[in-house]
Amino acid sequence: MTGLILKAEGLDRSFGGIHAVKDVSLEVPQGALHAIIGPNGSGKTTLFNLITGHTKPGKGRVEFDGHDITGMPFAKVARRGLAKSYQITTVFPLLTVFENVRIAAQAASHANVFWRPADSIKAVTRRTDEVLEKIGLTADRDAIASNLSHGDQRRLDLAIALATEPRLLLLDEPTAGMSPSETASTVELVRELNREVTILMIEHKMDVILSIASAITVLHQGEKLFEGAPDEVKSHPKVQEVYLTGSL
Amino acid sequence: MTDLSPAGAKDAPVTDAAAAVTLARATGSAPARWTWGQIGLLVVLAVVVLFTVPNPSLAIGMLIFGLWAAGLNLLVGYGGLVSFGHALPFAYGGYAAGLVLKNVTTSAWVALFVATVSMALLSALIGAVCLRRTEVYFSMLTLAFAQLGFFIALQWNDVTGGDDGLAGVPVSTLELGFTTLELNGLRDPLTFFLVTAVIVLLTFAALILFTESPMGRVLQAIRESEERARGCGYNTRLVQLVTFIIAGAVAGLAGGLFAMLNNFVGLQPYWLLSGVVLIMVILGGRSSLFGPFLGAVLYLMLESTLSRYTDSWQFFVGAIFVICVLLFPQGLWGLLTTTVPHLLRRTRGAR
Amino acid sequence: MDQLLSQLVLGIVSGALLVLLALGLNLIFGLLEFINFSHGALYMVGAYLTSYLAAATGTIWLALLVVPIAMALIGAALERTVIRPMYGRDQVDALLLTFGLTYILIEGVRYIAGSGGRRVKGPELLAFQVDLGLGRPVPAYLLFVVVAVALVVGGLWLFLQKTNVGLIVRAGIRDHIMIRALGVRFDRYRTLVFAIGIAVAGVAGVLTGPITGVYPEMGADILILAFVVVVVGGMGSFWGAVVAGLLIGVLVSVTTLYASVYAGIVPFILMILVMTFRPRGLLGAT
Repeated sequence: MTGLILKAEGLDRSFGGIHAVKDVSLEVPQGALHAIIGPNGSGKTTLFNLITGHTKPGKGRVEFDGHDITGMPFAKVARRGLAKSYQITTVFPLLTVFENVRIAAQAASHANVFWRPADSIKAVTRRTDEVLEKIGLTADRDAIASNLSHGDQRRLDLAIALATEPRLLLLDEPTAGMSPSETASTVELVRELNREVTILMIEHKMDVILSIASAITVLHQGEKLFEGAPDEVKSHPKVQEVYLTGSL
Repeated sequence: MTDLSPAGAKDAPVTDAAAAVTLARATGSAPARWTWGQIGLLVVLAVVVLFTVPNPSLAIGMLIFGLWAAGLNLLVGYGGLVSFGHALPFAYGGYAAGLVLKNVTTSAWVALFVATVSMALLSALIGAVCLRRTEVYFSMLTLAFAQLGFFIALQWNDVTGGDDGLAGVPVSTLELGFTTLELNGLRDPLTFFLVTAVIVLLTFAALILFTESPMGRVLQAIRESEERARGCGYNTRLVQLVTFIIAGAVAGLAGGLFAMLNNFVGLQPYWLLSGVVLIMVILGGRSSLFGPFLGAVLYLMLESTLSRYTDSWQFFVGAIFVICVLLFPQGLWGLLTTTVPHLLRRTRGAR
Repeated sequence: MDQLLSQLVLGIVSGALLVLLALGLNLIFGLLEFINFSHGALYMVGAYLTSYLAAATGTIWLALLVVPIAMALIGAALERTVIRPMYGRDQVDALLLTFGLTYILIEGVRYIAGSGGRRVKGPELLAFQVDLGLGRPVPAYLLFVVVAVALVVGGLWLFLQKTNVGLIVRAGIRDHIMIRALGVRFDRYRTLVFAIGIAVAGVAGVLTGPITGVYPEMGADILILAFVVVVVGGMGSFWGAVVAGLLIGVLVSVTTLYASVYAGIVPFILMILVMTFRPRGLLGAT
């Protein structure tokens, strides 16, 4: 096959008079860690929503693993192996950390039945513990999710996405609101996760992006301004202009 | 210490008491030892009811209403879906069983089977419409369906007996292979009680299995965040619909038993009857299945005691209910299992 | 034909009363974000106050002035005491709380006034029939009810559209967080909106008395119909509630004429159809 896990062609969407995303195309090869950057209001999150089906595109199409998923309900897209971590942390607040992740792991196991106890499905329990270990939440296994610190909740959000065994992971600003040390460990985590799963992420912090991304797309006012490797992006005059003239 | 609101626990720094309430509201974290132990608790409760409640028909009613309330709590507590129309499958289950007993066979098996299955089917239809929206819309839609059902029952005189109710439901028989029991609530209440207790316990156990099953867990996850559950790939509507069907089937079973107990199916406004079972759930506590059962026993006890002294007993029920929602949203069972031990630990720790 | 036309008038009258209840529910839901289950019971309380005032003064004119004010005060008091602790909690808790209030109000009234209903004498001034050319004359009081409701609806709309307070209320309905960020003391507006909603229900209570009399359960049936109106019209839609209220009033009334057995069922059938084909309601926003 082409080796592309995600292919978006000419995505376009307006809200009222605002043209949020203008004719953006995107190709993400298997195994990549592709980052989307751009100032606030440049259409990053809308682009994400167009990909996941949360927002229906006015024009254009999205292909996931060779299948057209344009405008498909999110749950269906998720079942095909696309997971999303949320910009505003979204966990199951009153369930335990373990239960949060197990719900996700169970989805991948296709064992959504009602005539046997969930505890008896060992593969799911094993998978859950694996993910907790990987994300570093094992110690908080039995804590109620809403009692975790902000940073830990973001990691839990990521753990839930990961436990569904996705083939493409969409991360919406995984380090938002994190302290420098939390950011550093999350960056490390993302880099590690990328060994197993293709990642497409939105990020604000330039240093984060430049250190880990394999390719970067720069959005500006809904349009693709530039696309390339981190080094090229760093030295590209247009990108510098957008970022340095304070259009942020 | 004063902040008893679970929402306060979500955004503010978590206080101890709030954390206890949060815990109590979080069904998934109902103390683990009570999950299957609830069956044991129910056995104990049934024995207590058997020996302490002097009026046998009230005692049997407690079991039946308890099961009905426990089934409703799948929706309310576990699913976050407050149905205001749960009287409908109860009452119609009663009609279904009553009509079978009157016109087809006096076999209790057949009557209860028909009541359960027909209400599962009816709930599938109603649920498909009501679950198009959630939260308050869902509540209002279920209420509207109950009212629709009430008018149909009222008008369809030939079948339901209309306002006078369906009278003359014959005493049923229960074939057990080795013997055949006559289920006469008046002449032999003990047999009726024991048979009901067995049916109720088995159904209760099945409900617990559901809450512990993968699908039951997803139901609770949807209550917490539907968006996230969808993001995991779950068909959230389907899970809620299955729950709605199960709760409806259980209500149908309970209604069938109730019709057999009274040899009669009465008609009263369904919004009121739906409210009664909802009150039982909230009084007892929505964080477990045993809680609503306890709530049903408590409510019926209150009713039979208060109504001896005053005609306005519903006033006091309303007042108790309001206080419960205001101050103890976790209900009696939640109070007993989480908040009380928690506060005890605190006072001991303070010393 | 004559019968149909006069039945239409009756339908518009009962629809107009439904509109008043539905608008209050809608407004409260918009800003306070919960469904006030006690709305019907409070409407009943307003009707009872009217029946006593009318008995004492011999006319409902005074009640028309006093009862809405009294109901507004009762509403404000309820909001400040028992409803306020519900904010920030699950929407459903407020629904349950107001459901409990319904019990208390109905039983309280039954205790004070007895289970039997009371009659309310209509105003002498309007005790005549008007010939609208419908073939059969129409009681003037019914026309007065329609006009009064139209005035209340119009006043409410102007209040929301043209006054600063109304502007804040509308903005609050759209975006709670923003309005709080602007430093508006939001609590006051919640109290105000709840009081207005209950006052409007009180107006409906006053107007109903002379038509149907008053009885403790009068709020329950109409409340469920008002829910249906809100759902059919579209949650939060002002004109949706007006249109759906009149539509359902007329539908029920006309069905009563031709197939009275189905009159109770028709609104629910309509609601199921709307929920199936247009879940956001007739005029509801997406």
